[in-house]
Amino acid sequence: MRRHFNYTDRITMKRDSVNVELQENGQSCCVEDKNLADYDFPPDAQLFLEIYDRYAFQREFLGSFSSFKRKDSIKISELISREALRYRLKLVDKTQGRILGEAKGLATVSSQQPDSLLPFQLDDLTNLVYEVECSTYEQPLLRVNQRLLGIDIEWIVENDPIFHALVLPAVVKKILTQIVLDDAILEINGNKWQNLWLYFIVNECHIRQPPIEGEDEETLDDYETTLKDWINDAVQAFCYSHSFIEDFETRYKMVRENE
Amino acid sequence: MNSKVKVRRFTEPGIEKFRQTLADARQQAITELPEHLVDDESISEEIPGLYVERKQFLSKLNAGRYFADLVAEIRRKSLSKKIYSDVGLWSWLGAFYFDQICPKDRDGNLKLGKEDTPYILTSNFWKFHRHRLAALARIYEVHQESCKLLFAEKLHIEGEFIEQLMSYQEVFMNPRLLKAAEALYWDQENSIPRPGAKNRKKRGNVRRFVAVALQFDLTYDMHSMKIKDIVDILPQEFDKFRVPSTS
Repeated sequence: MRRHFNYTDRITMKRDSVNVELQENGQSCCVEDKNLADYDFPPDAQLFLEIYDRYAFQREFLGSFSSFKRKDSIKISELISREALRYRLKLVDKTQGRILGEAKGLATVSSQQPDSLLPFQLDDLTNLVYEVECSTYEQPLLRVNQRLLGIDIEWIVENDPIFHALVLPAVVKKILTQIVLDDAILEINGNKWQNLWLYFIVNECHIRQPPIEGEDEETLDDYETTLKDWINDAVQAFCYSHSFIEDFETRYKMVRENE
Repeated sequence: MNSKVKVRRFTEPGIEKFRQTLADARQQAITELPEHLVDDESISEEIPGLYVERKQFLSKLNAGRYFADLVAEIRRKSLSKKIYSDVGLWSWLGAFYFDQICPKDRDGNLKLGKEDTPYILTSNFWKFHRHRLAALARIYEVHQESCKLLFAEKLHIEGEFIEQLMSYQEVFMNPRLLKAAEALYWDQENSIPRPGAKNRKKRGNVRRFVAVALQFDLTYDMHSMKIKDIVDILPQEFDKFRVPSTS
């Protein structure tokens, strides 16, 4: 695991220091103090909200650290893709222009939570046993062939360790590739399906967060390799935390003994 | 007079066909893509009410302006929900203007690189900027003509300035950093990049600028710094590019 020393004196603030809420169908947002009092910054430090996607950016001055409570109706530029919206908070020293504190991947407020990270449905897949669908805008869906006759495929999908060990690593790899490489989403907090998946992988499978692009990589291709390495590590951690090898062996021996 | 053509969008099989065509073109010496590729209705669908011109772009700036206008029209008419993720659309445009965005060798044969990304828009978000036309539209849309470096190279050339300055969002999204890069690397008098700016072996090249800017970005609020101050804090290796007007 790569670690960095922070020589900048910059404080890494928690992602829930403020709440950000989208308004007017994503046309604007509001931001509200939640835990800023936990920090001891100079009262006149300037607070900025940065709203961005990969190629567009806007910055809103929220006021001084001591006076900020809430700002409503911040218009979001139409150049910023709503699907890839991100927010970060910056506290800047007024006189020297130094960054005093920063919170990336700010928590956004939402009441919608999906029931399952990977719902499944039966479908006619002709010759395929299963297929996984996922895209930037649609939560992943595991489709299983309904033409599999004479077996309780729903039970298998939910409970069979052999199915899990053989199918789920590939499914998780495809989903993480979509999230990290195609959608370029690296934050575990947030309410998009990608954030929920990353939160699950990082917290339940005990793997570090996806690495942020940095000066360690010489080129973009190096960074892509770093991300692919992380995806492989994450799939390994997923398999380890779910004991696929052990459960597969146990189940397979049981099946052979009953033949 | 430039003739107008209805814009189409490759379907999945269309993208695959284009990819295969590029693979074939790498194996044999050909001077242009098969003409029917962009007209074939079995592998592409028409986008109603959207037209492009068969025109020659004089520069990247020229193309950037044109495609940014096209994007604005697509937005206005709601013709694509996710414009910059519309692989079928950008790939069709890549095929349509292929003769202008693909380099050629001395004999006039297509000189394709290893990757398809300059022509077929990749869904990999990190490499989006490698698509010749989508990248230019986005640059123009966000920064208009404010950074000459991003439009400096010829349309068919994979631009080192775009590759470096657009790869990192902290740099691309910061107009002052882009202006600082311009102050260093743009020869105002001759309207060309300064020699050595793109050369990875030279000290203080644009790639080093990005690496150093990313380090400073951890400490300084570079969005509020003056361009002159950004140029001034750069280390000695950039002396060659620092000119009196900026230091």
